[in-house]
This record gives sequence, C-alpha cells and structure tokens, in this order.
Amino acid sequence: MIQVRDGTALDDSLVIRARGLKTYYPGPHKGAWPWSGRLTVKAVDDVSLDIRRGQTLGLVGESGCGKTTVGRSLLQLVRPTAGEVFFEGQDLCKLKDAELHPLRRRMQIIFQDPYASLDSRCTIGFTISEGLLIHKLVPPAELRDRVADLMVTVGLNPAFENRYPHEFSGGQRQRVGIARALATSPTFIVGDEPISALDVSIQAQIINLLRTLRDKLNLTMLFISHDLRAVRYLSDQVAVMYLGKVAEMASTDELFANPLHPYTQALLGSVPKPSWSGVEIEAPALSGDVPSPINPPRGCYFSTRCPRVMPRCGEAQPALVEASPGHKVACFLISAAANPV
Amino acid sequence: MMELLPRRAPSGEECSARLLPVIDVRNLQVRFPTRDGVVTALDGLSMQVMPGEIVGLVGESGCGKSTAALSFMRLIPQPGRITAGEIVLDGQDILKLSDREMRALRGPSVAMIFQDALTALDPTMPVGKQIAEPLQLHKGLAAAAARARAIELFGQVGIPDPERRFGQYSHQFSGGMRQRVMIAVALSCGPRLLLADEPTTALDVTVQRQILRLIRQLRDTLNAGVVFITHDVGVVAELCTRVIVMYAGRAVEAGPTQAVFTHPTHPYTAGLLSSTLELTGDRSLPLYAIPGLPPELIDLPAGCAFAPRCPRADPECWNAAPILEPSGPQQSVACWRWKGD
Ligand SMILES: Nc1ncnc2c1ncn2[C@@H]1O[C@H](COP(=O)(O)OP(=O)(O)O)[C@@H](O)[C@H]1O
Ligand SMILES: Nc1ncnc2c1ncn2[C@@H]1O[C@H](COP(=O)(O)OP(=O)(O)O)[C@@H](O)[C@H]1O
Ligand code: SF4
Ligand SMILES: [Mg+2]
Ligand SMILES: [Mg+2]
Repeated sequence: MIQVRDGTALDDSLVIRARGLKTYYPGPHKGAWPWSGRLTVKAVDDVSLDIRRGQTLGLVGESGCGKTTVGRSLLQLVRPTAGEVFFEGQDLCKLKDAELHPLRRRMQIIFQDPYASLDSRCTIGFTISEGLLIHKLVPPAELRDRVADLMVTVGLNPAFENRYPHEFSGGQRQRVGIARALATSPTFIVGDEPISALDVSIQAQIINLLRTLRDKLNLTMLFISHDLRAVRYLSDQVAVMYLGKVAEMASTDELFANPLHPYTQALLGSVPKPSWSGVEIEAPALSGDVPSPINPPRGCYFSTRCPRVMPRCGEAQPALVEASPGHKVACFLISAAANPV
Repeated sequence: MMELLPRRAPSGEECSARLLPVIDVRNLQVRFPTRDGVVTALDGLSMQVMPGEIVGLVGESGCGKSTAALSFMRLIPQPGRITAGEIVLDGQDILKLSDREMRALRGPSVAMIFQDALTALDPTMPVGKQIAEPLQLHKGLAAAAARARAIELFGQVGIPDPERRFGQYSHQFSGGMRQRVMIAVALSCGPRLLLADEPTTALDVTVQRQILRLIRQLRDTLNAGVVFITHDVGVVAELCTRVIVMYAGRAVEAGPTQAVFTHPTHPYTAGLLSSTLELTGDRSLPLYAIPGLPPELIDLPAGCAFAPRCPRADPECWNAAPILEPSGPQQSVACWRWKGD
C-alpha cells in the first residue's frame, strides 16, 4: 500500500484514483490586443474519483461540462493544472512525457466519432497494429495473427484487414476503434461517447460488445456519455458533472433509484418518455443553457438554473459530501457543508 | 393510411378546413445514380399528413428519411431524381410545377429544419435578416414590418432578448438557440407543413425537451402538419401522433404511435423497440440487438429487404417483397408473416 497526500492508503484494487483534479485551458483574450491577458476556462475544477479494477465509472452531464477533459486528463493527453492522478499506484502528473510513454500502452481511449478518429489513408489492419508496433509488443512475424485475433474479438471479419475506413459502416468503424484500443492489452480504457454517433440498433451491439470485453479482459473503464440511458447499462458507478464539478456520484442502481441532486433529477426528467401524444409535453425540467466555465455563477454553479434554488445557493458553494454510504452529493438541500472560499 | 382519399386536386381552403391532408405522397421513388450503381433511396413511399398532425419518420441511418423530406421540398440534390410517384402538397401536385412556382411554395406551404443549424443558417448574414427577408419576399411586408414580425417570432420560439439577438450572427448562438433561430426562420411564413429532420439529435436531452415542447406548441397554434424525422423511438413516443417505420427506402409499418409501439406488427419495429435503451428495467442482461446491418440500396434482392436480419423470416420471405396491408384498425404492415404461424 502506498500513502498519498490526504493520508489514506492507496488500495491495490484502485486502478484510477484522482484527487483535486483541475484542468484549465487558456480562454479568449481579456482585451482586444494579442498581448492583453487571457481568461481562464475552468474545464475541470476540483474533481476526485476512484475506479476499481474491473469496474466502470459512467460520467454524464450536458455538453461542455468537462467530461472529455476529465478523460483526457486521466490519460495525461492534456496535462492537468493541479491535482493527482494515480494509475495503478503511480502519480502520472509527476511523470515526464518520456516516463509516461511505457505506461501509455496500458491506458487507451475510444473516441466518439468513428469517422474522424480513423486515418482514412490507412488500412484498418495498419490502424489496429500501430500500437503494437510503437510499443514493440509482438514480433513482426506474429503481427498479422495478432491483428486477426483482435478483429475476431471485436466481431470484424479478419479478411477485411486491407480495407479502408470508408468501406465500413459507423458501427464497424467503432469496432475498429475498439480493436485499436485493445491492441496493446490495456488495463484502463476511456470510452469518450463511443456510441453517441451510432444508430439505436448498433448502439445496443456496441454496448454488448464493450460489456463482454470488459468482463472477459477484466478491463477498468471510464464510460463518458451524455445519455443517461447508455450509462445505465455499462456502469457500476455514475458521476454526474456540471460545469467542471461533480454534482452527484453513487452506484448506478442507487443513482437511478434515488437521485438527490436537482440537476440529476432534471437530467432524468428530460429523457423522452412515452406520453402517447395528444397530451401536453412535460414542461422542460431546465430552462436556458449551461453557463460559461470562463465565468461560472457565484455560489453553487447550478444555482442559475436550479428549480429549487435557495438564497444560500447564490452565496456559498456546496461541498461534495456523503449523503449515505457511497452516495455523494453537492447540494445544500442535502447538507449545509460548503467548500472553503 | 390505407384508405385513399379522392383523387382530384383539392384547393388550399379545403386543406385548411382539416378535410384534406397537407401532403399526400403516393408511390414515391427517388434514385441516385452513383459510381457503384443506382441507389434507390425511396421505393414506393406513400404517406399523408393531416393538418395538426405530427407524423414521426423513424428508422436507421440510410433508410431514406432525409430523402423523403427533401423530396417534399423538391430539393433532391443532383444527379438524384424523383423517378416515380406523386406529391400533392397543400392541394398542388408539386412534381408538375416549374422551378419558380416551387420556390414560391417553400416558406408559405412547406418549410424544413435540419439537424445541423450551423450549416443551415447563413454565417455571413445577421440571423434576424434571414427571417425578415423571406417575409418581405413572400408576404410583401415592408422592411420595418418584417423586422417587427421577425422579433416577434424570436420571442415566440423562446429566444430571450429578441431585439438584441436580431442583429447577431449564427455563431454567437448556442446549439439550442441556433435550433430555435432555424425554427423561427422555418415558421416565418406560417407553413402548412413543417419538415423537421433530426432537429434534436445533436442537442442535450435538457434542450431537446425544450425544442420538442416548442414544436408541439407551434403545431397547436398554427395547426400545421409536421413530419418529424428521428432515429430515437423515445422521441417519437413522446411527440408524434402517428409513426411510419422505414426500412431500406420503404415504409414497413405505419399507424398511431401508441398502437404501433404497444403492438408492433413488423419484426423490425419490434427489434427497434427492444434494442432501445431504457431508464428502467433489468440492466444486467445483454441488450437485444438486431443482428447485422441494413442493406445497401443498390440492387436490392427480390424478397423482403429485412429478411437477412429477421428472426421470423422463412424461405417465402426471400422470394417477393411484401407490400403494406392492414394489421389493425389504423395500422398497416409490410411483412409476409406478421400474423405468426
Ligand atoms: N482545447 C481547449 N481550449 C479551450 N477550451 C476548451 C478546450 N477543450 C475544451 N474546452 C472547453 O472546456 C469546457 C469543457 O469541455 P469538454 O471537456 O470537451 O466538455 P464535454 O466533453 O463535457 O462536452 C468547454 O467549455 C469547452 O469549450
Ligand atoms: N446525394 C446522394 N448521392 C448518392 N446517394 C445518396 C445521396 N443522398 C442520399 N443517398 C443515399 O440514399 C439513401 C438514403 O439516404 P438518406 O435519405 O440520407 O437516409 P436517412 O436520412 O434515413 O439517414 C442512402 O443509402 C444514401 O446513401
Ligand atoms: S417478411 Fe419475412 S423477413 Fe420480412 S420482416 Fe416479415 S417475417 Fe421478417
Ligand atoms: Mg466531450
Ligand atoms: Mg438523414
């Protein structure tokens, strides 16, 4: 066991442990001149999360809330501004790029867009084998066999290894993306909206595939989606994000049965439900858009849209606290605890 | 669906008197010559939309939904062509009109909103002008009156601060607000028929709910007919009075949404419904996924296009394509085996 900053012991079964993760981007210029200072986009603002071996954490929230940035920060594809990211016990934020390189093969990502994320000039066999070559994982003589194995694993016909991405449907390209991610035998995979661009029937196929692979290979996953329905089928735990912060986090069954944060409730209430027409469509649970992470509201970030806002919400920022074992919420309706200013 | 209405061209007044459909499509066939062969994107589509009715067109990508909507606007891109059939829009057979006559119908008779508002709006022109101009053109309003009407429309579709927004450009709007602008543009001339091609697919569920409610309210105030295209059966269930399920360029099932979704008679409809992700119910089972992929629309084999993926197909299904026949009081289906064994 390893001691980390906050004094708790690092459990061996934790594949990912992030503490106080902040990732800021340089935003637009404050003034009209190139030399005038720049505003800061607080894309991820103090996020802590754990993922145990073989488990999947679902990350949901409206677009722009920082889901992709969390995923990329965990993988160090963007370097966090502050905080710690432990991967199998090592703090990645302290490692130099060269030191990260050997670890990269054990952490992979599947992207949303099966069209943009594959190089159109490369055969899919080449795309899948690239990671194996970079990390020198198999002798050249065995490369083709390994690629064929991977293609079979994700449900692609290995005879197609010399075809180009444009010859495949969206669902098949996403299978290529999954095979590419699996090639280096990773332990941790970030799926960044991997099914969002696909048709319903294909979404079901890919969810089933991801679930089978996860169980067979004991993969640890961060599954990012703006669709609560998809998250429900793949995740053991769910974190709901709003404006760079975690609003609520719980086991999947608990979160869907007993959502406590008004934002989680609003998201759940927005999912289309049969009203069998004629009847008035339920009032929108939320009006307006997400505020900008450049200039977030004072107090609770959700206070400008919250249907249950109280005077205190505009002044202090609720802390993420445990409402019941394993169920954390940041809302003054649940606890008076506030973040230090 | 199956009962054919009188075969004479009705007048505009009769249409608005709720007697006649705002659009009556018969045996529509649309073909695209391509390098690989002729794509038959629509093959014998017949449908009607009554004033005040919201008809959902649902099916996997590539089944011809957008082609249907574009042909109702007579905007099929070259070298694509409507090769057979009839489209009677608001009493006029639009396939017999000159280009100029057709242009005059776009706006007052039929208008369309698209999934991608950013590309559908002109980035170089203030959004307000994009509404005011057609008003001057079609309704003969003076500039000041057109401006006032445009601002009123902005307010109606829920754009806050419409006066200031009038002079802004499309990139200054969020995704949800841009979609509202496009709806305002489409509504500016009070169309008899509104075509909505996946207008909420790219939006968050919270914003989707706002837009669905807006479309429902507009239907109520304008008594327009709406064709709503989506691949999300949840959205159809919530919004549409009737639904047409499409597969490979044909309608395979049609009827009142509630009837079709509670008692699907086509195996494809049943498959789509069971593969849909839900917020409740067992989440541990593998999801039902329709096996395989939709066919290429070049040289479709003689039998039912769904046969290769159909759990109920028998040898007869491969011989000839089934045509729509009644399967319930107002429901119809194109399947040889819908009655079971
Ligand atoms: N490279 C970047 N530079 C500046 N701002 C960025 C960058 N990437 C993302 N952002 C901003 O950070 C916020 C979070 O973005 P993202 O992590 O992509 O959210 P999500 O994946 O939830 O949609 C957004 O406001 C986005 O505009
Ligand atoms: N401009 C075009 N050229 C060639 N084929 C096209 C064109 N537009 C559509 N198609 C073909 O027509 C079929 C139906 O497409 P579309 O109407 O866009 O389907 P959907 O909107 O249901 O996804 C597809 O097979 C598509 O490839
Ligand atoms: S006709 Fe046959 S193959 Fe086609 S849907 Fe019906 S049972 Fe299936
Ligand atoms: Mg993202
Ligand atoms: Mg389309």
